[in-house]
Amino acid sequence: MQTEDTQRELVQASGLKKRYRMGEVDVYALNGVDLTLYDGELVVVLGASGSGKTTMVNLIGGMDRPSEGLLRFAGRRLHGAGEDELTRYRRTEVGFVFQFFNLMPNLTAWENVQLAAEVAPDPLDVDQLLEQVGLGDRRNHFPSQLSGGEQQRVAIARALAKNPRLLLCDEPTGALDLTTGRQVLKLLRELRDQYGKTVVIITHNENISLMADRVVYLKDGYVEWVKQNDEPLPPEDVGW
Amino acid sequence: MLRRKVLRDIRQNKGSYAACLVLIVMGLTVFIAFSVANDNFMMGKHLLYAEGRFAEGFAEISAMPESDLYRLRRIEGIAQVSGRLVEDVRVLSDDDRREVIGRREAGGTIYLRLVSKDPGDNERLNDSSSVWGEPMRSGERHLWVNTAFADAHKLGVEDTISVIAGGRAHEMQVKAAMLNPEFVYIMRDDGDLFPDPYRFGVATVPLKTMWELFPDQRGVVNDIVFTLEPGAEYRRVEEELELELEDYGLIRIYPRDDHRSHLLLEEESEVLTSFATFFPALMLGVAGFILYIVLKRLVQQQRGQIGILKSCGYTRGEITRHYLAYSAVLAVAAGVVGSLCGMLAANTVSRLLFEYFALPEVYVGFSLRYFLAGMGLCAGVLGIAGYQGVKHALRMTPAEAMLPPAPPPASKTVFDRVPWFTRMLTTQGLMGIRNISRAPGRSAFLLVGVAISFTLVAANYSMTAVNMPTFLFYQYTEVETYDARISLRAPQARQAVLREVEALPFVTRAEPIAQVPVTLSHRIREEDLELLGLAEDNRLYNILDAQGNRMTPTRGGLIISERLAHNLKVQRGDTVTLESPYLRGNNEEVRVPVVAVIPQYIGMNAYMEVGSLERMLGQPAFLSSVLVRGEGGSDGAGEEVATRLSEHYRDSEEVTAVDSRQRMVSNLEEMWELFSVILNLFVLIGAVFSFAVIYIAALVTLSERSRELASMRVLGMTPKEVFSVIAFEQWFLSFFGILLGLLPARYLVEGFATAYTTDMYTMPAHMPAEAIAIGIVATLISIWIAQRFALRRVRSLSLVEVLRERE
Repeated sequence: MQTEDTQRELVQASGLKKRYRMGEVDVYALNGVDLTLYDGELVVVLGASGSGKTTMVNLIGGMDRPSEGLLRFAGRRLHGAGEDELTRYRRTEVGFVFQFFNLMPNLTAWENVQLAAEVAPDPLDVDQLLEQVGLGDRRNHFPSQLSGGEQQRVAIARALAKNPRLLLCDEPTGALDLTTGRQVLKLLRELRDQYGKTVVIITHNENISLMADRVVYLKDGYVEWVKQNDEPLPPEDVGW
Repeated sequence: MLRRKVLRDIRQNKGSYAACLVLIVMGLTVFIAFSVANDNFMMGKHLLYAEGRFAEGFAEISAMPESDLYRLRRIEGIAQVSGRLVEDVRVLSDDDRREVIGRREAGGTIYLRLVSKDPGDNERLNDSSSVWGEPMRSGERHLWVNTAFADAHKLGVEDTISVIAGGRAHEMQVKAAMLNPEFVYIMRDDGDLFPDPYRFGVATVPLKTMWELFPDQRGVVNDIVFTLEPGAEYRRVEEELELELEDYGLIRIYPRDDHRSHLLLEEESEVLTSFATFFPALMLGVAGFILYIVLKRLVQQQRGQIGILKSCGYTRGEITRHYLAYSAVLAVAAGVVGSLCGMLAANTVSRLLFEYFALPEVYVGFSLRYFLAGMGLCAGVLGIAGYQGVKHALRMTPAEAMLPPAPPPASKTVFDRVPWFTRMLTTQGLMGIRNISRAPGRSAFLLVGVAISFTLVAANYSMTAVNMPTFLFYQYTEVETYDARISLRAPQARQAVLREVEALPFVTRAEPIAQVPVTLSHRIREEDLELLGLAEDNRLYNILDAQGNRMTPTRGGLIISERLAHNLKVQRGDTVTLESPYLRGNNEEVRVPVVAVIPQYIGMNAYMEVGSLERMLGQPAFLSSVLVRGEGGSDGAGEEVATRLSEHYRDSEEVTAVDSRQRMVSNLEEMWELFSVILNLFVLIGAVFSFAVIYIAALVTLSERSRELASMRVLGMTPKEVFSVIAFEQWFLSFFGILLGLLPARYLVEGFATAYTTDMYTMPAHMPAEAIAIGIVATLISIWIAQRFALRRVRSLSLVEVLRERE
């Protein structure tokens, strides 16, 4: 594992704020986040409900725009980027995995992954990805014919298919049981190791942070602490 | 508390409810406005028919002493008989005896049909009733004119007008404006297509005055009207009458059902009824569908709330009632507003009708019957739509309702069985295709919507661009090509008249027309019509076959119109039996072969070479009208010829009318301008309908699949790429929708044609390739525009918001 000094910076956030208007008052979902993500690291973001985890990932993933602050991806300015710019960014650089999978119900597993591969300039091989996530024999099944774990694996394959540099996973195990959840985490770790992607996992399950290279803890819209994990545990050893 | 929830939910989703409300209000407005207007119309008709004792049978004869009428009264089955003297006259001004009343257009000839009235007979049939004015006194130079003519010429009581009768000008005093059951829709002859109250009117005149105006008709009548005893059979009475009237120069007898004004009145009522049905059904159907989708979506979104209500102990009935309350609120609001708008619009529609149809103006005002019908209709449609929308959610157990819904089932579709087809598609295309079978109801809605839209555009365009213009102008631009037509009061010696007309310095050519009233029969079918005898070398009245080629009037047989061939069930080569009051010698009838069948859009005639016709009838050479071509040849010159002829024959006793073909065409063009606006409006409605269907379908899709679409945006797809899923689905269905619309469009054109076709008018029913192309282009453009609007919605989709929602 490289040290912070030798690693390449991928995402830089500085004084990042996100403000929502709730009736007559402004509410800050993010209140000045300073954070750097490095190439190839696995980061777990922890925090209580409402701490701003999802908001932060949405901003980093180009799904939303910050109200204030600076945000860069590999030197590219994301703050102030227009809709087209953010679309291009999502298309090439970011893969998302959601708690509730968000698969296309009327596309098969293979077609769901292919859907993402189609729009990317340099996609990975869809069949190989499905084999890798253990669904080679389920490739022609529709989401309604797959278990929750299988659906999440399809979602991970889909996120990877575009060959992005950053994989953002928002509560990827939130809708899964222990065994399936561990399998998904193992898969994420393997894929990070094999492809060298930066993986960010948002969770409120502190045990998962044991598998991370770094742990970021959010509280009330800002980063309360960041911890380097010198000896990350393999996912199968993570408690629940 | 739930009531408050209903109102708040409606306020939150006010766009969709407003769309339903607008559609229902429009539908109900049309339903009530046209239904009430039809009731007003029919009440006016019944009132006028009853007050005026409208006849059930009509007979035209040459002349019969009035004193012989008693012979007709003795015929079994006849209840009442009235004899009148009916003559058309030209109207002159008081001062310079030139035809200038109103001077709307120089040289315009104004005609009045004078119908005698015996003021002493209190039981006379087809009696006029005055709208304003004074009673009529026997023997006075009084007349009552029809209301539209009085309005067009701004006539009032004691105004005088001059008419040419019996070769002399007579001053007549207007005493009243009247309505008459016989003249509700007033047109001069079968060749006219629209009423022209300025150029033609009807006037009732005391019988004795008529005899003074026409001294050669003193003591006689030439028009018989009669009613039947209850239970009497019209056909039998007609046969008896034919025998009795034969010696008086019978021209024709016909029942009320063939009376033109009555016929047009009945047809108008049918049009009103179909209008009151078709459009409201369409609007309410679409509104019902929107509500169904909105409520279905609502209960899906409120799945958790339903679970909570159930867990709180609310019964299924209570929850059902709660969700049906959305329909009820809409039904009450739309029902009340729509019904009231309908009542208000009914008066406007009625007023428009009364402008064209001379009927007593009856206005019902508020109709409780239609108000309740409107409310009932509204409640029924929305109730069913609402229940269909919510019923699935209501079946859930509380525990089930509290859980997130299972992913929607998906499986291979029929399209997946055609691998070469699916291989051609992008993944977005594949999604679009699968969505079709995933939402069969909405797919059917789109398919049928596009089909209806294409049908409306293609059919109305066929009527606007092809059939209506052919119907209106073919007769007066292709068939009849003279400058002026001189109509004679009675047949005249042919050569003498032609020589006289040709001798006029501004006339370059004159051709005869011998018009012979005949009855043609074939097996059990028979038709009364006018047989036209034309010169072999005719140039001013063309007989044209279906391809538009000129045909020479035949010596050995009849050329007949398609309509006549259809009515008699004859074709080329068949022989028909001809009877005519003009037939002389021992023969009561002759057998004539049909040598050709030709299209004819105005009138229903048969044609023959004039010399052969005379030989067949045993008559010397005669003519009834002269067709004239004058100097020059431009359109203006044609009108000038008519004006000069009109002046030349101003005082002629024998000339009843001089008509300019060019003016006829100009009048038709004027009417056509108005009419084409209405037809184009229907083309537009078709296109707007398609826009609405596509837009609604897209909105529903966006609302139902926002999560899927947002996920695609997250994958990095542009709004266009995301929308291509919906667009592909819509284009694909639209292709089949258009195909589906081809046949109904064809039927609609035929339906239009049938609706307009009577024995006098034949509307062509062509649907040219151009109409199909226009239908396709208009439908595709409106789909494209609707999709641009929908695309804006995709652009504004908030990824964060949508994905945050629980599935």
